[in-house]
Parts: sequence; structure tokens; C-alpha cells
Amino acid sequence: MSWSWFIYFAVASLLLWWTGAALAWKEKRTWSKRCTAVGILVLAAYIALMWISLQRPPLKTMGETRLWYAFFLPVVGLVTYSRWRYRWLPTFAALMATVFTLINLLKPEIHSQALMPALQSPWFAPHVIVYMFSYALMGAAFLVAVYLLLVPVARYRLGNDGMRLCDNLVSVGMSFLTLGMLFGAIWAKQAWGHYWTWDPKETWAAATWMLYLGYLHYRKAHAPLSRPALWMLVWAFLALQMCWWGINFLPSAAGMSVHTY
Amino acid sequence: MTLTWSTRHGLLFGAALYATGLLCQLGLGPVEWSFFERPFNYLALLIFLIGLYLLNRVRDKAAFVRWLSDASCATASLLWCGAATVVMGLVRQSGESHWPGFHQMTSQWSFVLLWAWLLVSVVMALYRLALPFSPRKLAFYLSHVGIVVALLSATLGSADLSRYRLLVGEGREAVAGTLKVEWLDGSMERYPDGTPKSYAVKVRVQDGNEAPEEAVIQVNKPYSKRGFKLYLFNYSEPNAATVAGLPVGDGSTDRELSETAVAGASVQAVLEVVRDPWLPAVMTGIALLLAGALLRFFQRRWS
Repeated sequence: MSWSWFIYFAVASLLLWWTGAALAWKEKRTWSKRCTAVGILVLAAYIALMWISLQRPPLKTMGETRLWYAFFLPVVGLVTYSRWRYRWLPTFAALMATVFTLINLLKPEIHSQALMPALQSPWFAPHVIVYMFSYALMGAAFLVAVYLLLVPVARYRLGNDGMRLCDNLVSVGMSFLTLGMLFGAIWAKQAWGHYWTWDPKETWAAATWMLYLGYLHYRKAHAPLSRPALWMLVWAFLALQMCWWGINFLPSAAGMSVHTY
Repeated sequence: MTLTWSTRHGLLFGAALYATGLLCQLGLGPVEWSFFERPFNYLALLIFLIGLYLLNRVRDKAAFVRWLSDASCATASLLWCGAATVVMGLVRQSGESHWPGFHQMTSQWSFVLLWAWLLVSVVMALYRLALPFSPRKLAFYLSHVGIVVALLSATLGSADLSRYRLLVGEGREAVAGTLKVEWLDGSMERYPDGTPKSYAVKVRVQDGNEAPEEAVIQVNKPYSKRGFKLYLFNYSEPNAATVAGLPVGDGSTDRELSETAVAGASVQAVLEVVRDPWLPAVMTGIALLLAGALLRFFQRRWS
């Protein structure tokens, strides 16, 4: 199995996810969920086959992390759709998954590189997968927040429900964000000698963590629909993007981060 | 954009704190963390926890004290700390300490005061909400006690942390304090394309009067002994095209002992000895936080 096979799996998954999204608009819930689930299984099969043929978890390059992102977005979409039955949710998830799949298809960087010694650790897979899952949830919350901020009609129609959806997504996302950060700290102690060194990646992870935590504490005391809360989600998500890939382009972080592989 | 009164007040309080920090920086220079060397960190810890406990007892008499334990205070302090950390991410942390200290944020008064405020708000919330005990509050207890334990022991304990670099190689012995490390063997494995796959060194370690022990140290697999850990920091083979460098953090008492490296003469490795007496406390805090995050996830009822 190699990246040259990716396009077949990717096209199959995307077709299934978009069929699921279309069925959701027609209120055919069961079939929408089935299509999405099969699409997830197809991509899961590709990840599993890659894992076997690479003889290591496919978690090292940006391309490989995008693979997990494309995998987890429909998973989160499916869970939240089963829970709240918003017709537009599968479309959101399919759209975001499409973006990450397309980046991987259009920018086939070298993916078959060997794993460097510092990454050979049992903490590697849990650290990255948990973060990817959390990023997917925060990404969904960000989209809902932008939708509510930009579309006045959405505020009237969705209003409180949309805000509650954000609360749920961020609350679950926060648990995973915390797990990811702490797994990272424990791993850093093993690999680098200290659990926290204010490496640029760690700095931005801390900022992201606190902004989302700020949102959750703000929500404790405030009305169902709150514009400042929605803006917090936007800012927190920008910090998250900085943490994820932005620091690669940040002059202040150039040559400073040990999180470059 | 409309914020409610209490959060808005909190944001103003944060601004005042930030300004106070800038003045402190001007008058006192950067925060000297080495001041907290044992026993002063224990003293500071006691004063902090008992002081806040006493403050908590007058919370019904002073609105400000009561607000310190409120969610709106937590929000404001988190947003301020988040924003200050964003600044830290945007400014290169080169260690220059001139005013206002943006290049060395961990020693900047404003930054430290904001984080202290965050800790105050967590401790005050714990004092106010801990009782009456309820199992439903378990996730709250775990995560809030966890963050206090982890942050306090990581910051106050940083002065007691010591990290040494040791250069060892064929026929070379290194000493750091009571620790003696003697080179036995080293090996490197490569991938077919020549990039390093793994390195390992075998050394004899003796701490003080204890019996010497043989240890194999690899990246990600440090040698742990009561009181210290020994890491493989760098490994190089003679005339090796690749010299494997592994990064180190900004430990407050970093002492570089590897300056005398003999270039490329023989197989050699740089080991790092880390003694962190507060590590068990930090790890306890991390474990509590982990438990809190998991419990929160499983307990949550979807609304």
C-alpha cells in the first residue's frame, strides 16, 4: 500500500460522505448515517493498510496528520449528527474532510520517510490522534460560530441550539485537547528531559488551551446566544491553527522549535 | 460587542495587573526565579495557600474577594493569560531581558502576575466550591486541584531543578556533582537510506557511595534512578556524516559541560542528567488533570 493508491480510497470515501450529506438534507437519516459510516470505514482501511506497509503509525508528516483529520471529521460529524440531527452537519463535515483530502491529493509531499529516533515512542500515536480528534471538534465549533456570526437568519432560526452545539463540541474537544497536551508533556519528559520548555509549539498550545478554557468559563454565566462567546471561538481557533501549522511560517519561531520533523 | 459587567471588570483588572507588572519590571528588573530555591519555595507555597484561605474567610465582606472565586474572574484571567501567551508566541524568545521583557516572557513581571492571578482564581474557586462535598463535583475537583498542583510545583520547583550535560566517549569519564559516568560502549543503527534509526550507549553509573550500575540509554529511554534521570542527548560516530543533535529546554540552571568536545576523534555521546525534586509533584498534578479530563468526558450529559 502506498500513496499512489490514496486517490481510489479518497474518491470512494468522499463520494460516500457527500451522498450521506445529500441524504441528510432529504431527512433520510438512517441512510445518511450508513453512507457516512461506510465512507469512514473505507478511509480507515486505507490508514490501516498504510500503517501495516509502513511498519509504523502513519502519523509523522503533515500529509499523514491530514489523513487522520479527514478521518476524524466525518466521525465527529456522524456522532454529532446522530445526537442532534442537524441537517447541515454532515455537509460541514464532508466539506472539511474534502478540503484535507484535496490538499493531500494536490500536494503529494514525500510521505514514506523514515521515523526519526525522537518520534519512536509509545506516546506518539495517542498524542497525535487525540489532538487530531480535538482539532476536528474545535473546527466544527468554529464553523458553527462563523455561521451564527455571519448569517443573521441562522441566528434567528438556530440561535440557542447553535450555541448549545458549540458548548457541547468545545466541552468534549477540551477534554481531548487536555489529554493531548498532557500526553505531550509526559512524552517530552521521556524524550527531551523536561515536561515543558516553552517551545513555540508548546507556547501556542498553552494559549489555545487557555482561550478555549476562557470560553467554557464564560459560558457558565452567560445567556444562550452570546456574540462575545462566538468571537472567542474564532480567536481560539486562530490560535489553534497557529499551533498546528502557523508556527512553521512564524519568524519568531523559526529555528526555535523542536517540533519540526 | 457587549460583555457583561463582571467579565468586563475582570478584563480591566487584568489591564491594571499588566501595567503593575511593567512598573515592577522597570524598578526591579526581570523576575529572579532562582530566589525560590529551597526552602523559599516551600515558604512561598505555604504563604500562598494559607493567605488565600484567610482571604476566602472574608469573602462575604468584600465583593472583590468574592469575585476572585467567580467564573467571570476565571474567564478574564484565562483570556488575559491566553493573550499574553499569544504575545509570547509572536515575539522571539531570545532571552534578552531589557524592559519590557517581551523576549523573556517567563521572567516578565506582567506575565508572571497574570499567571499568578489565574492560580489565585482557581484556588479561591476551590475554597468556595469544595464544600459541601459531592461526587458530582469529582471532575471539577480533579481538574482544578490538578492544575494548582502542576503549576505551583512546576514554577516554584524550577529553582531546584538542575540539568547537566556530560560528554562521554571511549576512555572518557565524566563527573557531575556526586554522579560518576563511565563509558562502556556505543552503537548506532541506520535505515537503508543512511538516516539514523536508533542510537544506544552503555555506561557505568555511580551516584555517591552507591554500588555502580550498568545502564543502556537510548533516545526516549532514559536511565531512571531515585532522584535523577540520565538522557541520551547527542550521539556521534567518528567521521559520521550525521551528527545527531537532540534539543534541550531552557532549564534555569543549565550548565554546559560539553564545551570541550573533541571533534570527530572517536565515538562519543552527550548525556544529560536531570535532577528535579519536584517532578513527582508535577506528575501528580498531570495525573489529576488527566483523570479530570477523562471523567468530564464520560460524565457529560449531552444537552
